[in-house]
Amino acid sequence: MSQPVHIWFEETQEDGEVVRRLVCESVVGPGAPRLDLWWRIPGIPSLPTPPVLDSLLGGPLLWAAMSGQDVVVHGPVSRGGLYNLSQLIEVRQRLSPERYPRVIELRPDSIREVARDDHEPSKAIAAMSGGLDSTFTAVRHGLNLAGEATIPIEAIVMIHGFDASLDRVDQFDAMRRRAEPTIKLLKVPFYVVRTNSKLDGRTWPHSAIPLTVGALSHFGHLAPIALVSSGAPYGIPRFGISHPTVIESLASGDWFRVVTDGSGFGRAEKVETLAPYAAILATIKVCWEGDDPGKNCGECQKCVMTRLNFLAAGMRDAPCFDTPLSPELIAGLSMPSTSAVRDLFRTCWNELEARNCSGPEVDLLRRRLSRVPPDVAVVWKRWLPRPAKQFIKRALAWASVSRC
Amino acid sequence: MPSTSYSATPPPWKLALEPQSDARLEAVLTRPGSQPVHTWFECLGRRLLPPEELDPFIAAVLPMPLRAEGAVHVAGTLTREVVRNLIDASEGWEDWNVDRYTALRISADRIIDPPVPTFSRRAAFAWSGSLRSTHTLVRHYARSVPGGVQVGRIVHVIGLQGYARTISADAIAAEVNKHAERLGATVACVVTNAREIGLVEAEIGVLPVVAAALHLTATDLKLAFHARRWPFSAQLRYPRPEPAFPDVFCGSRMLIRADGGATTPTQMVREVYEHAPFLLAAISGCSERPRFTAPCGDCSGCIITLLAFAAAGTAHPALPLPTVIDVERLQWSDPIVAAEATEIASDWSTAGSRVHQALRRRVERDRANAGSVEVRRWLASATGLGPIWPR
Repeated sequence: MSQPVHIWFEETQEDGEVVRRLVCESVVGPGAPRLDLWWRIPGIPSLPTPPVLDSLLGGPLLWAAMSGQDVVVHGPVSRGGLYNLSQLIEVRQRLSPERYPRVIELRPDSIREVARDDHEPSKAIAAMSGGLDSTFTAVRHGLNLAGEATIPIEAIVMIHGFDASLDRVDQFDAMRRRAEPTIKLLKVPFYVVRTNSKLDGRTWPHSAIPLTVGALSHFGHLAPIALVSSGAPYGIPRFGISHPTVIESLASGDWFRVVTDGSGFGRAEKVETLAPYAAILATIKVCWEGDDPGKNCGECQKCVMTRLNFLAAGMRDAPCFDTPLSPELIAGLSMPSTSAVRDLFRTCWNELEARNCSGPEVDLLRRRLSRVPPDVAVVWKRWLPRPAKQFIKRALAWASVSRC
Repeated sequence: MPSTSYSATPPPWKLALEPQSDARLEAVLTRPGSQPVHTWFECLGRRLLPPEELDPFIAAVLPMPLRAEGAVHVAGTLTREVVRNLIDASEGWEDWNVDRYTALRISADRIIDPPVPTFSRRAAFAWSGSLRSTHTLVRHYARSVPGGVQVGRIVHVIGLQGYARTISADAIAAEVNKHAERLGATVACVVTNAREIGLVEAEIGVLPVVAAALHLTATDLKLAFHARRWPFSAQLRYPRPEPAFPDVFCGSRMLIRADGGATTPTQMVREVYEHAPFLLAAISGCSERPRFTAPCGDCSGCIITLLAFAAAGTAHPALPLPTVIDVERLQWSDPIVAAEATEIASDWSTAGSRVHQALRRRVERDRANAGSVEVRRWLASATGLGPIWPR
């Protein structure tokens, strides 16, 4: 068994901004033997020190779990935080044993009892990336569209170091500029957190929510809730790769807890909710592949899938893309096997089908999806001789045509 | 599609507490044009105090308005947390099956918003007698889970499993008490009519009722645990919305937390054997007879329990050893049975026995079958004879 990783918390002020660090020692793997995870909060010279370290530990814990190292924390952790983080590791290891070889142990120096003020209302610090999900969540709660389920938003935080890497300041600035209309509409304070806590992205996307909560937790003195948008809808509860709500909630502690929003909505429903706010819809940024960091390229898988969500909501010409959806874009989608297109099927096709959408794009998508081979057939295909492959292809085409 | 406006046409449901008797807490759910639904809870040997907030009752009746569309108004007080959580859950159920469930709008005469409780040192534990709930209880009792808490109370809801009506509730309560004494915990055995009036349905399960019982019997502890019904391995094979929910029965006065779900049945038996062997005899997965009575030994729940014990290298004190025929009788169409049997086959202490070999063959057959089903569906989809696949 490997030696444990030791983690210390440090807090300083550099260039007029708060800088917080987790110093990790005895690390095995990239960056060994010492790693510094830092968070910088531009424009904020001082912040109250968090009473417990729960929220900062989710990311490093997953990362230590990849090398099978236990974690010793030289600082306080809440009882609820310790339980949740330990469960997080247990569940992740069960779901992805190839990635996390064993259930590692988290050993804090001390367990501290923390409680919020009895009169503090349940407000939230919301994460904003500018994508469809986070914009929906911010608008839904910021404008009280969720009725009795609304959580008032105390502040919005955008994180530099996740979607936009730290060296792409231009990309992050473009992302922030695009989100400005939303932030103005909501009229809440806006903060930026810069962080290297994603490291080399080895634990992404498993660590996406724990790391987001870590960034939001610097404002935990303002509100007890970290409001984050959902990854996987409840209607398509995938557990393998993504970050379902049940696991995301394990990034909670007794001081600062996670509320995941929007899991009961499909992406087309989110577009429909935002439809009355045309200026907001135009700001949505889903693309991370195009050359221009300020725009959606409109052609990558994520862009085309989002265009299909807009189409399901009745918008062929979505305001956040420069051109309307066309069949050529559907033809360009990669569909090698069922597991590769499952997201496309569940988040796009289901919604198009449920709304009886029609048109050349929908027809083409139907034709292409109906022929996607199962994973097992992809494996067999490698061993089949070319004539056999051609025969199967023709037979399927013939059967399909004769049915029509 | 989850509703965000308040323009629904059906009249709202109304939930109100009924005048209380000494023994029972009762609430009634009414709607113009529908029969009133009376639901009650009773704790054997102990008087339940009327709750200040109606969180337990809104949790218990959740399945009814969820299936019947509309809004619910509570004549009384709710906590903000339970309102948010149950609205979220209802949106999830609707997203899962829009033809069967409807997102709810929940309101109340008064909604209070105190801070959510933090983890206390002691907690209540729902104990159905299943291997999963016994394991949850034991791993906290033995403090083998980091951040684990002391077992302060054991809560058993009588009559949620099994169909035999000849056994008295008092006899079951005596049996629960006998085991709980050794854990040093107090017991609350709860009787309810929830199952008789249709509040327990197959897909949603018993959790709303169990959560209500925990709310009613453990307010002083502010923290309660229940075992996850749906193991994560089953979720990988057959996704369902409920296992993806966070702890949606938490209120602002009380946390109701799901525990476990990541341990194989074999490992669960090993841990119970190590830390609390006196509980082994109480374990039952029987779906035919009430828990804490003799299991039937024939149903898939019993066979899975037998196999888990055999895989851990021990025998269930009240059941015979499993046979190859038992393996063949497993209801593989039940996702939990299939997932747990697969886990047991891969975690067998002394591999190579006839039963183990039979179980492994059954698992292999299941895998091959899954592959051929996938190919058949693809062929049907590609030729236009069936719906589009992948699903």
